[in-house]
Parts: sequence; structure tokens; C-alpha cells
Amino acid sequence: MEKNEAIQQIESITEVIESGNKIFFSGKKLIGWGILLLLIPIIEYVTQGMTFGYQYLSNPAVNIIVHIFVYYVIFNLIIKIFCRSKTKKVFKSSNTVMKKALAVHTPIIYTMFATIVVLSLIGQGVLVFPVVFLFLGILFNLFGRFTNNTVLNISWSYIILGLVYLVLTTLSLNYLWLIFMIYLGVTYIIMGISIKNTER
Amino acid sequence: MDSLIQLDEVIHQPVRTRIIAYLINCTECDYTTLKKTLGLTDGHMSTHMKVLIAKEYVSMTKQFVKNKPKTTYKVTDLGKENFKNYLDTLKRIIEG
Repeated sequence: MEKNEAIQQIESITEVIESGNKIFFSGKKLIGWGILLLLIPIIEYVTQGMTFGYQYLSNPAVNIIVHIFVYYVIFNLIIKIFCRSKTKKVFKSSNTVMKKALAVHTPIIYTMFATIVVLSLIGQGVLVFPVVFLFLGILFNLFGRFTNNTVLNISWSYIILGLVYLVLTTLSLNYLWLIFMIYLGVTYIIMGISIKNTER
Repeated sequence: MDSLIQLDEVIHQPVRTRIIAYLINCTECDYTTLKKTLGLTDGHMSTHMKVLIAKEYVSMTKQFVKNKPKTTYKVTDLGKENFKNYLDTLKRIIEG
């Protein structure tokens, strides 16, 4: 065997090993979620005069919990109807060690929802959005390390914006959540497209 | 010429090299994931997995998951040892 041939063989092995270290992240589902996130401001506007609106739910804690529940149901229904893929999982990995490491996303998500509920109950609902951004930043930072740089860069932007949002909560800006929600929706779509482009 | 003799013939085949490299990294892997990730055909899988299993480089487990058959492959200790030796041989060739 020639030296060049041996180098090529080593490169081929490295390439195979690297492919095993990637996670299969559903770009299509991320795009779907992004569109749904962008629809939230519209849903909020339309439902203002209905039971989902603020005037009927005077307790802010109940209000936030009802919102989370309603959106959770809507999102799951729409995802189930429109994003029928063979795998039910958002991501999967063939590397068993990575599977265990990535399983940390479950406690992160549960902790995020628990924090939202607790903040609402103690009357700190205004902090919900910044906290969500921080948690999403950590979550996507984890996924980004095994997918691509776009996801990783966006994850850092979530962390920075989460901290900025925390500062801005002192200013009581009514439409701040709208700007952040649009940013979230748009970045989800960008991440989805970028993952779809790198899919095999 | 010496290096050619020392190279493991079971591993030194493009498809089998990729299969064994992937399995070593992933610890274990099911048939579909392995086939899709490496872009192999059923023919490739059948031919080369037979060789790897016959030589005891890879072990195979068949089980039913949710009433569906699932075949999982894992590299044996012999497979790991020989792959390591194969890599060492390649390094020696590169180093001259």
C-alpha cells in the first residue's frame, strides 16, 4: 500500500467516525415550530375578545398556565397533522454514548416548564420570556455542538437576548414579547432550513 | 510489500472498513441506521456483514421491538483489537 493510499484510508475512517457523531435533527419540525411561533402574536390578537383573552383571566398566574396549556395542545395537534415523519423523535443519534449525553435535554425542558409555572405562581410572570430564552439557549447550544454552526450561533444569541430581556423587563415595555417571539420564530425557521440543507 | 501482507484482509475492504469504523464509534447500531448513514445497499449489508460476523469481528442480535424485528450489530473484542492493529499499520505506512 502506498503512503497516499494509507492517508486516504485514514481520512475515510475519520469521515465515518464524524458522521456517527452527528445527530439527526428534524429540520422540518423546526421550520414547523418556527411558523407556529410566528402565528402566536396573531392567535393572541384574535383571541383577545374570547375566553382566552386577558379580561376574563384576571389572575396572571392562571393566565400564563392557561396560555402554556392551550399552545401546547395547538402545537402538538398541528405538528401531528402536518409533520408526519417516520421518526417521532425531534432528534436521534446512532451513537449510544451521545444518546445518553443528549438525554439531558429532557430535564432541561421539564425544568424550563416548572420554572415558568413557579414564576407565574409567585407573580413574576414578566420573567417568563427571558427565562425561556436562557433555557432554549442552553438546549440549542447542546444540539448545535452536534449539528451545525448556525444552530450553535443562534443558541448564543438566545442566551444573550435572554439576559438583555431580563434587563429590559424593568422598563415595562408592553410589546417587547412580540419582538422576541418574532425573533424566536424566524430563528427556528433559519435553523430548520440550515439543518434540512445539511441532511443527507 | 511488507505492509500489504500485514494489513487485515477482512478490514481492508472499503465498505467493511467504513462499517467497522462506524460500529466502533457508535458502540452498537441497528441495521437501518447503519445502512442509511453509510449509504449502503441491502446487497452491501448482506455480503459484508456475513464476512464480519463469520470472522467474529462483529456480533449480531435479533430482537422484536414493538412487534417489529430489529437487528443490532456490535463490534466484538476481536474486531476492536484487529481494527486497532489495522490503524497502527496504516500509521506505520504513513510514517514510512
